[in-house]
Amino acid sequence: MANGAAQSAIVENVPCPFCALLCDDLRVAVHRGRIEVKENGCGRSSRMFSVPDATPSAAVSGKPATLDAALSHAIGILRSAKHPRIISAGADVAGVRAMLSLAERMQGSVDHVDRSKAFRNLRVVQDAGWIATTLSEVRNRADLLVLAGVDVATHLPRFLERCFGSGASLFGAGAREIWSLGESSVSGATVPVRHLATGNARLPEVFSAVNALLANRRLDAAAIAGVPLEAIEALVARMKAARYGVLAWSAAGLDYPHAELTVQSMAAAVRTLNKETRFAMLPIAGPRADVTAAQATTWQTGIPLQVDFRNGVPEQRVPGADASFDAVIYVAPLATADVPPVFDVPLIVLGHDAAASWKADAYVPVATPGVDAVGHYFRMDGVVSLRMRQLVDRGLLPAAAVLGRLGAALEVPS
Amino acid sequence: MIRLKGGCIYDPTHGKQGVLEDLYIDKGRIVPMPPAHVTVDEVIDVSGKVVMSGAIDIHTHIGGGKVNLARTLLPEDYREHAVRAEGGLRAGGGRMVPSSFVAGYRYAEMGYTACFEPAILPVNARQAHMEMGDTPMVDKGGYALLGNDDFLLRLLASGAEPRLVSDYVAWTLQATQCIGIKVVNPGGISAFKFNARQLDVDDPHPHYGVTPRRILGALTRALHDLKVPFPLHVHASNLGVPGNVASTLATMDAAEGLPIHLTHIQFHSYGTEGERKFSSAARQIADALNTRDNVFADVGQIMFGQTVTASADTMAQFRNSGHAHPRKWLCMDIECEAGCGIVPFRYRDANFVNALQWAIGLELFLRVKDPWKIFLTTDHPNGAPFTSYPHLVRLLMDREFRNQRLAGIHPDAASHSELASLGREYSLYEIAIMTRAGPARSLGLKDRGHLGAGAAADITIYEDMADRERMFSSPEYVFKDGEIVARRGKIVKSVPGGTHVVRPGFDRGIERPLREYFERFLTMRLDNFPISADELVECGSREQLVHPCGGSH
Repeated sequence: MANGAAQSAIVENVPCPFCALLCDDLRVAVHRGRIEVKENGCGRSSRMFSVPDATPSAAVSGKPATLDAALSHAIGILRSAKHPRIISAGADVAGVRAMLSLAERMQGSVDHVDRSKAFRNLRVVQDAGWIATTLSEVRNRADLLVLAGVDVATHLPRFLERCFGSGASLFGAGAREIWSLGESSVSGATVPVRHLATGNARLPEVFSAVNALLANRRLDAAAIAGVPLEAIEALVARMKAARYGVLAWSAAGLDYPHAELTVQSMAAAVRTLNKETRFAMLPIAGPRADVTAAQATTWQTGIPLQVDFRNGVPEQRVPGADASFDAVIYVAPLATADVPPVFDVPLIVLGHDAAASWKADAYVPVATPGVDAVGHYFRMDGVVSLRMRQLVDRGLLPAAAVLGRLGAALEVPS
Repeated sequence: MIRLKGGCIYDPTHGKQGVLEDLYIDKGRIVPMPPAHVTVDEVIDVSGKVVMSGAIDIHTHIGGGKVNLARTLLPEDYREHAVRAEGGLRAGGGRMVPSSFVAGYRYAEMGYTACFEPAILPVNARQAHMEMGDTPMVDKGGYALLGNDDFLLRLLASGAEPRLVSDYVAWTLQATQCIGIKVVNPGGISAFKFNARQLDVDDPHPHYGVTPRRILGALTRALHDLKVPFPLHVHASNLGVPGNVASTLATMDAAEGLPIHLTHIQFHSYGTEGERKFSSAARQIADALNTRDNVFADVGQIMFGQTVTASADTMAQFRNSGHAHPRKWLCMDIECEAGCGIVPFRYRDANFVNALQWAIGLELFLRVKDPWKIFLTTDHPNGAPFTSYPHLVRLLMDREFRNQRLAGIHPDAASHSELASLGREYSLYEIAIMTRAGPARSLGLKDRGHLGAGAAADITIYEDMADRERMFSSPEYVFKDGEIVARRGKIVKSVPGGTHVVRPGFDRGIERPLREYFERFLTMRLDNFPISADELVECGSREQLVHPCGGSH
């Protein structure tokens, strides 16, 4: 840890928790409790690593309060709650573990703020499975990247630079190419890009056509979803010719009813392609540690969210059949978490600095793993997890410790 | 101090075969009989009961990415087998792939006190340790997966000196906090990424030109040179392929006389005889084990019913995906290291192939003469969930029971197998070897797997019942580190477990080419890769348990 008031230090290979790419090659300067990204940053990391001098005050109903006062208020809310919901908006592994422990004890539920987006992928895994890959495989092996309805630079600012650029690769990936489908833009690409423009909501039609062509069916249409048939035929030919193709999408970008069927259709195409060549899927996750929440919840309970403990056993609740709840704990240690949706129940926020301005009944500032706390996050591919470093010490508790305190207080009868 | 009075001791490490003797436990360890003036705080009468050390599972997939993917793929396993939070125990569920807490409880209920996760991808080691950290009751250890990673394949392709391979192996053991090295389908997982669908022991890798034989030779040599107690743990080429007996024997040869452990060897003991072109090669494989001092194996017994196969062997899993039941499966290429494939499977006794697989596994158990050379596993969950071990013990110990079962399987499979002619019944002593003393010796755990003074007081005490399945399902007492943690098959106290590791010495010079490799090709920096002893504890381990290298194999 590089603490100490007047000391200044350069720290190498710092992991960044602010998007699902978890770059860990940042070079940062830490001086008088402030962090400046010197190398290998992006706009987001530069912004989010810079922490204000002052730590925010805890608050009760928007008014500054002592930590103890905010905790007591939160405990009061939880004492009168029957089934609280604890929502991650960036909790690390320790945070999710603490969320599960508390929810289990209180017959509450555990959720992630982006769960309904992630569910578009999860449903496909639960129903059919898929063939997937990870970032280093993409970097070294892929000669074709198909992006489906995703503005990759917005989700993962350094993805193209790190995984599909002109940098070194083990096998000399050779001629690389990006095919971009739907409402996707590819800024920062250093390889040829071909666009097949259509609305994201029409991607199901595009992938139905892809699957039909892969099955050697003839399509009697000049265009599919506004895309000329020849273009889709060319796409399919390119996919079949790929030595190692990768299909990437963001579930968040498939924002229309039954988008899971689109993912299903993509998975089917990739399965078919693997009969002759190698092709794999790369789901692009969100910036609030949704993969971390799903991983820890799954190994502890078998259920990847939303998990509901009201009946004493962990039960999966799917979107549209959510568990009811009468209080919310919103765990938002990452600055990527925005103001939570409006709930008609008391709201406890364990959050980053800016969360102080959210209208919470109780607000407890918490440390950010990777900035002023250690902690583990999973990368988007769900394989690599990294230990975040504590770069500065602002005297804030990690979310897991706050949840632990709430749990301990609830053990004692009022 | 606790005195266990009058038990019938089965301690193969000390040659004790049903000896009536008291045991003394103090501060978590087994201690010699104390002098008369020492106060014994508690006397537990275990007269007539069978006393063994805690059981050790040498090969069980209980933690890490593939296990969690299997859970994700199978929500039905959790809907149907939910476990309530009660008595201070955590909720969870699952029968095929139990949740982390539940896996620990189920193992301890059966008298197991240590479990070894056999397929830890180095890059996924953190996750594996986090999951195992949330698996209470048992100590854990892991085998790091090498032999499909591009770093090693590049080393071998460039003709690197054995010393460099050893340094890399030792560095990997340290960085991943593991106790052994495993290779899965040597070179084959990597070859599949190059679109190869098969790689036999002497086939050159499509990119590196290196053969599986060369990979096996290099890794067995490295572990030998590093004096790592546990031999190379090998999931051989051609898993599940009829006729793979040839490549299994070639895999044994590839070790060139150095110690090698072939895992789930049942899946690698198939011939091509008969009209279905699928036959038992159990006799050939058992003969090889019986005549080669350097070869060890665990069986990977299958049991009839629904389970799920989870393996790093993407080449085999993709090939077998058509057999998925229910019809869903996953495959993943992983980080220039290996891969992972999850295929749910239902073994049916009325299916010729499955029935013969069942018989082949049992044949192997019964034909391998030395129980120190063969270990009891179902390759959980691939052959069956680990909770079927008591049933398997009964199959081995009770010939009549076994033959009744044999009568119920596909008649052609029964007649194609020589199982009916094998009259052997395992003794309690042999079971104690196969599930305790043998694994501990193989892994180099000097203070586990036995009941001598100085051993960890991991002790399992059974009622001696004729029904061995019942007996082994719910031991009377299970002690973990000197505390009673289970009584009559129910957990009475949840305790955390430690992590067994080895730390062979090596030349840190290996970090120079590694650092360059990571920076040029991978998407993670070398500095962020290793797991420190402190981080292991953050992951959930009670403590790091370091075992020495340098003993004789």
